[in-house]
Amino acid sequence: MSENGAERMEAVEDCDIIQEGATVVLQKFNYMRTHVLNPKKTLLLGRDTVSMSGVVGKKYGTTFEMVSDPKNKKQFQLVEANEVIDFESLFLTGEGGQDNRDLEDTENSQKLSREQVEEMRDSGVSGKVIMEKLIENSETYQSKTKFSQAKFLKKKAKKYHHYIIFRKPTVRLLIDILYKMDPMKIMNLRIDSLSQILNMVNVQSGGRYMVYETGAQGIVVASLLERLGDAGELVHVYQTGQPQTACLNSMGLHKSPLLKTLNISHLRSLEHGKNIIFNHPKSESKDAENGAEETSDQQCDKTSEKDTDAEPEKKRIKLENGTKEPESENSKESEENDQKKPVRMNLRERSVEAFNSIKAESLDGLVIVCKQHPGNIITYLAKYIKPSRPFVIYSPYKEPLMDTYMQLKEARMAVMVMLTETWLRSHQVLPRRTHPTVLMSGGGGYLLTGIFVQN
Amino acid sequence: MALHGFKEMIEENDTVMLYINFSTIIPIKVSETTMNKKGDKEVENIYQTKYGALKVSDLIGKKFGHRVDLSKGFAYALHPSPELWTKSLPHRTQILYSTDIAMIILQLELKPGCVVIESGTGSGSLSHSLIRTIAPSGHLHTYDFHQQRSEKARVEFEEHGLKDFVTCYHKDVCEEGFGLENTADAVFLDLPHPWKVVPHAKKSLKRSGGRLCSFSPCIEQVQETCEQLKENGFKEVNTIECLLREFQVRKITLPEFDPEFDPLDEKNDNSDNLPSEQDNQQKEDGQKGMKRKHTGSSIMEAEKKFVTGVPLTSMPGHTGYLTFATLPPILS
Repeated sequence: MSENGAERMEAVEDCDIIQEGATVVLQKFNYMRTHVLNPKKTLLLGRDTVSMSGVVGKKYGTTFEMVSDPKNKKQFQLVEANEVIDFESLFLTGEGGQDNRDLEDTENSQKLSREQVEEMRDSGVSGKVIMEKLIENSETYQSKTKFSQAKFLKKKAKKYHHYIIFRKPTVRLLIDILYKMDPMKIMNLRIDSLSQILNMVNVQSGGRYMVYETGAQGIVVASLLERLGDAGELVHVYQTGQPQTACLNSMGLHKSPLLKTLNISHLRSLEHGKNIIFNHPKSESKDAENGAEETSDQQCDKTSEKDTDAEPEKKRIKLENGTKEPESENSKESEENDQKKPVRMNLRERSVEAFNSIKAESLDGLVIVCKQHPGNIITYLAKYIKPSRPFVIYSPYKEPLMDTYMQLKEARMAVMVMLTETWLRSHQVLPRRTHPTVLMSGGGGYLLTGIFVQN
Repeated sequence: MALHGFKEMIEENDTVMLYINFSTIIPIKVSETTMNKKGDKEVENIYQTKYGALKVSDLIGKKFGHRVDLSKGFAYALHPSPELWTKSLPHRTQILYSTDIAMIILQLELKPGCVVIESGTGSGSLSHSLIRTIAPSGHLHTYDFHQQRSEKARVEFEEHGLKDFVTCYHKDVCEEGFGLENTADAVFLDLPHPWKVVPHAKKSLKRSGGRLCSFSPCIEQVQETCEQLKENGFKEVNTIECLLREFQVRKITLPEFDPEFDPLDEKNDNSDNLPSEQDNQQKEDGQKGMKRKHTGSSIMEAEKKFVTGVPLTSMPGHTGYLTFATLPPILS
């Protein structure tokens, strides 16, 4: 299995050609999402259905144009684009007005009706022509200032921009996608907070790290794995059911030979010398009763991503496009049970493997990003980390970290213990129009960092 | 001693970060002897701290992370890391701090095996973090137009066991470029005129594409650079700032106003300072209401305790603007 893992990792990193089955980042103007490429299937983008044939075999970074099917206007094929039309360079040629003193905000400035525009769109008229018509039929366009014209064009480009680019997934793109989609799904872990975690834990190739992660879709585990390269070890400690692996799948890292998983209940049992694999037949049926967990997701952006730490839920089978099949025939259920048994067994074996590793030699860093209060977790796991190695705890709230700070100080377990947050602001930089962006993030979580010491 | 890789026991020629307190971390080269101030004689290596003298050779054989006892107190011998180095290194120029460094590394998508170009080298703060992230298969090419600084950096990298991962160049990259083509995954610029270097950066990045970051304190520099980036075919041009807010965690006790408590009421008169029956009665009542404490004066005060994190009175308000951009792959 490790050989396959290494090969698979290499394929994702070195190859510039889009492969079938690869998880890619699909970008349309400023919108991005992850997608597993299947040339035989279509993808629903907004109201449009886009066929994925013609993509495999092309290079990453190739621009494709969405060409509508004359028979069905909502169906599109992807064709390699020879040129990408930039609205600004085409339409920002006039003088423009001085200012907006004479411009009235009426709803009648655009002569074309919504139906007329939609008709053009549906009949496959190109974005360039639609844009021309909109400008022709606008009473106010020519008298707007050049800045205002640019803003107008940018707004329209979003709607009529029919180009798609496929990119290789990286942690940077992934966390952007996740955060924009729903920050609470990753406990408001903003990109700058994630970046601090990675630096403060001093992650480097060859190092051995423990990550207790629940509730963040595996993004922290995926980021650390990306930074380990091809040497080192990452022990993912999780709480119940299965470790969250959505992001690992998106990055092609779920089979990484560097990754070990360890269920914290298994850890407790193993520390007491119990044999958790021998126990499996009895607890196996108990686990099955407690509800199935989903098998590894292929896509990070499924809106109904299941929380594996939730109470027992009814069984669900998820399909690629996110729809759910109804709970059904007995044959399906028993088939699922059979599939579940090997997964359970595998998890226990993996816990034992991880335990043996951390027992043989302590690790070089600890990261905790979880929904539980971190106080007990860090004191419980600290024994597996060498002295003079860093720890980083993330929480969307300050209070649990303040409690933990006091705990650590009183136990004199650590030095340089710091409670921090980072402040992030972006800027619009345009000639004579530079200013910070109007909306900014109100918060991206807090970090407690420090270095373990031995007294 | 390598700032890459981990050790458990301190040996001769290692660098140890001596942790006295939060703001006093000193890098110490572990050797029996050292050169005296004049540089003409070897003397026993003894380091003076506010808690007493440390005979540096005593560190040999000790373990990283363990306590080091001194005559008037103690310190900790910490394992070096790029973050500790950034906190304690000798400044030759204004340096980049860990907050910006962390964001730069993630935004540039760095990982082991990447080839990175950095200009200018400065005091080597960012360089150490970059090397840590891209080693052992990656490489850092770092440029500075100041001959002495370039040389000092080179010596430091060697002392830290990093010379295989980095090449130092003494060059003015604005005039001469990097001298590398189709080589780098990422380019980092911390220069007074970064826009002049954009075409050179473009050439030096790999044909399969790459990332660029420019760090500038002034918005005018940012404006010029963004324009040049767009004109040279860079996409996703994005300017941000990232600042660190630190909180001091404290246990706070605040006196509290009790609307029920009337200091003028006779039974509340404690001028004889003897606990009376009524005092005790009040204390018991107080258990249900508010906690009370005998103060020096005759009035008993209620108080509330809590743990809080207060921001520092002064925090970094600006370091520089970080501009990131992507060079798309050349597809023909």
